[in-house]
Amino acid sequence: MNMATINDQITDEIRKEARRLLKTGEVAALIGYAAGSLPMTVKPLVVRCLEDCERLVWNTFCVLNLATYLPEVLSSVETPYDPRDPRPEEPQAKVAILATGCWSRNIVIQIQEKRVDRERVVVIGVGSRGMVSRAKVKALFPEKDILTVDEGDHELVVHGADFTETINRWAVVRDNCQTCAHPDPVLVDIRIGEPVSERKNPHPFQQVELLEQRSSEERWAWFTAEFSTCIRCYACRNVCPLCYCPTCFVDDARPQWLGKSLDAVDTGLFHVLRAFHCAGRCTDCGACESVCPMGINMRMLTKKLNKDVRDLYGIEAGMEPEAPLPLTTFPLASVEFIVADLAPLPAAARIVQPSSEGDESCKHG
Amino acid sequence: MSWEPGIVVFCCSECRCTGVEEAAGSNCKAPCNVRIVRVPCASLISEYMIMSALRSGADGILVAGGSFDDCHSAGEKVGDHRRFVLLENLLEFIGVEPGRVHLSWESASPGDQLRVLIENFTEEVKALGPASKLVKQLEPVQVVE
Ligand code: SF4
Ligand code: SF4
Repeated sequence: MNMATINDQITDEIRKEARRLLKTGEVAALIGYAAGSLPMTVKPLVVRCLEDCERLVWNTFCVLNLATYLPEVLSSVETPYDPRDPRPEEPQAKVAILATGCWSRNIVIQIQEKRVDRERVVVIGVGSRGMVSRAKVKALFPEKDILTVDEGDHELVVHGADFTETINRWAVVRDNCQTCAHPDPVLVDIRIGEPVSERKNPHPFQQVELLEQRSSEERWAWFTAEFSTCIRCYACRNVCPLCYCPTCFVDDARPQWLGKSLDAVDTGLFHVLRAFHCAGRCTDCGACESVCPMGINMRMLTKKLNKDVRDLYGIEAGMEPEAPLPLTTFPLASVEFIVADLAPLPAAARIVQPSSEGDESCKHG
Repeated sequence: MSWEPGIVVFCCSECRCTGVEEAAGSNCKAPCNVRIVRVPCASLISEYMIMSALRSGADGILVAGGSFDDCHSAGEKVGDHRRFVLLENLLEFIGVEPGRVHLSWESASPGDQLRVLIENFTEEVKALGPASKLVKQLEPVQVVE
């Protein structure tokens, strides 16, 4: 591994681009990654001065979603103004952000939800080759301490105190990356590295489908077992770019929707509601699953919702900035669904077709 | 006495509740275990209310919105329908019995029809038995003398 790997080259290009952007003053800050303090980790880094550019890295362990930090960094570079005054008129400083396929789709959602102004974001697109799950690597070496991991293009060399082993990279890539169909960013201002082609993916929802085929009781057994170890640290919520309510429903005290203890019902409801709030918005970036200290596969719930949103409303989250949000904006004419009801009603009454306003869109929220 | 399920009905006062009083007043078969929560618009029913009812031990939850034709805010309701179908599917996915939470978006109904709907729903829930999933049960407290 003397030759520079693809990721080393990308790291170089990112640093060069960051220096250029900051030097010319095109952006006031850049969101990227720095090496983490533990093996196989990275941490988000906001670069605001030229010296920090050297700290930027790009490797196969970039599992956090940088879009999470974008709105905050954007407001940190704004001209300060009193909340009672109108927003300043003059153009505001820009922020550059690294984005792969799913993160760029999260940025698209932030644009759709008016969290982020498209004009103020410079998206540095990097095609993703799939990120490695730290948990999967650790599972290969039970009871051993991993000290460093060197990265080749297709293999990882794992070093411990008394062993060195080479493993196949793709085998330890995260599940969501293995089933991802859009590894290339959908929004690109500056491209780094080669574009990655769309992946043909015959079974994107295979895991969900397998669960769906099981009986109701088996699924309940899966649900209770999977979430029984949750410690309610809320890392999965905090890391997700979709969760930005100033007061989350789990923290609400009046009314208190959920108990705050580790009661299995409260924990289960937290996960159901958290996933439900991501319906039609989740890009399956896998950040939630990657940060969970207990290795809980809560992504299965959002994945199920993604599948339903695709099947029922024909929408994949965050593919186009101009596209409407599936759950809040929709043409009235497209509403035509069967209402299954217990009371037997004449067939004609079961199909609801609002006759008003043709194909005008209606909005709410 | 035989077991009677506890039913919570969320209904829109604009369209569905026109006949609620009649429904409750007339000799509806299972009136005393049915709690009717009137909301000014079906789109105000949140997932929290539904899940809270489930958590508090409701055996069946019926969300009764009116039809889209004579709704005064059709758009909201369509959006809501889209959301609640997803919630219903998700609950089924995690193993809650299908039919515990039921959505009905039928035409504005005279009280009679609502009553029929509630009665049918009660029968269905009876067949399912008491709710146990996602119902919070507190451990009995031991009092030390
Ligand atoms: S719910 Fe998880 S997978 Fe979906 S966008 Fe949020 S962090 Fe990513
Ligand atoms: S990150 Fe894991 S342990 Fe923490 S709240 Fe989420 S599921 Fe539970």
